[in-house]
Amino acid sequence: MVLILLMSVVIALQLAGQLMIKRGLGRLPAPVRQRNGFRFVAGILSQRLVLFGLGALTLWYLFYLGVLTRFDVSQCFPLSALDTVLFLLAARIFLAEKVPLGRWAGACLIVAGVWLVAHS
Amino acid sequence: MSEPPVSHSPGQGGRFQWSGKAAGFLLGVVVFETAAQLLLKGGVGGHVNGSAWLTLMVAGGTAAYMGAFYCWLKALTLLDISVAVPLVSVSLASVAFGGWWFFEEPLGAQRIVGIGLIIAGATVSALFSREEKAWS
Repeated sequence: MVLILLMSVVIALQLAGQLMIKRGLGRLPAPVRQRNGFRFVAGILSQRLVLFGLGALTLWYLFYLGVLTRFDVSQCFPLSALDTVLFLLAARIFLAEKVPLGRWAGACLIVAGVWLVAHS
Repeated sequence: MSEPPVSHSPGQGGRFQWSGKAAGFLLGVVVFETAAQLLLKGGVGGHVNGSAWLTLMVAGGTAAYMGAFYCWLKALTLLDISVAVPLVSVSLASVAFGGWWFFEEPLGAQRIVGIGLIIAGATVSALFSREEKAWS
């Protein structure tokens, strides 16, 4: 139960971070998005949502490392594999992305595959 | 200070630009992430002798992670996140395969089926990503 609670926080931080980065990138002017290399990186760092997203991903990384010090990776990894489906759900709800049925099916296959690999 | 206007916003209504460039960045994520995991595993897993090799592999792994994250950001400027996430999941399969190829980690029937399911899932997602382009 504690593991599920902690992994829920891990997944929530990852989802929040990636969604904020995605939304932040969408708010950038097209010329900035089309840059490459250091000019692209410098450009995206001017967007607050991208910075918040990077902050959330940093917290996610540190929190996940903390969880891994208390639990086996074989216990944590299958739960984190669920994030493929949760990403689709979050993108549908928060970013209004259209997610066709086939993509849901693909994500479910991936979760099943990761679960099998993790338990092998 | 107000936010800049959205001139083209992938993910704000299902429109995105599926292109060779987007596919290239996704491939970059998979290749860099696989390389990063294998280099770090090789570095810290006792597969090399000598601190110089260990340092080189850990540094290479970290650099590869940075490369993967850069490609991921560039991919997100072109694709919906619900398109990109399932496709980069292929790296989970390629890391498992690489573990067997380079480090002789066991590759039993269950793991092979798992790798197959991950690749099948990513393929199905990719097929439906292309279809959505025609609808938008």
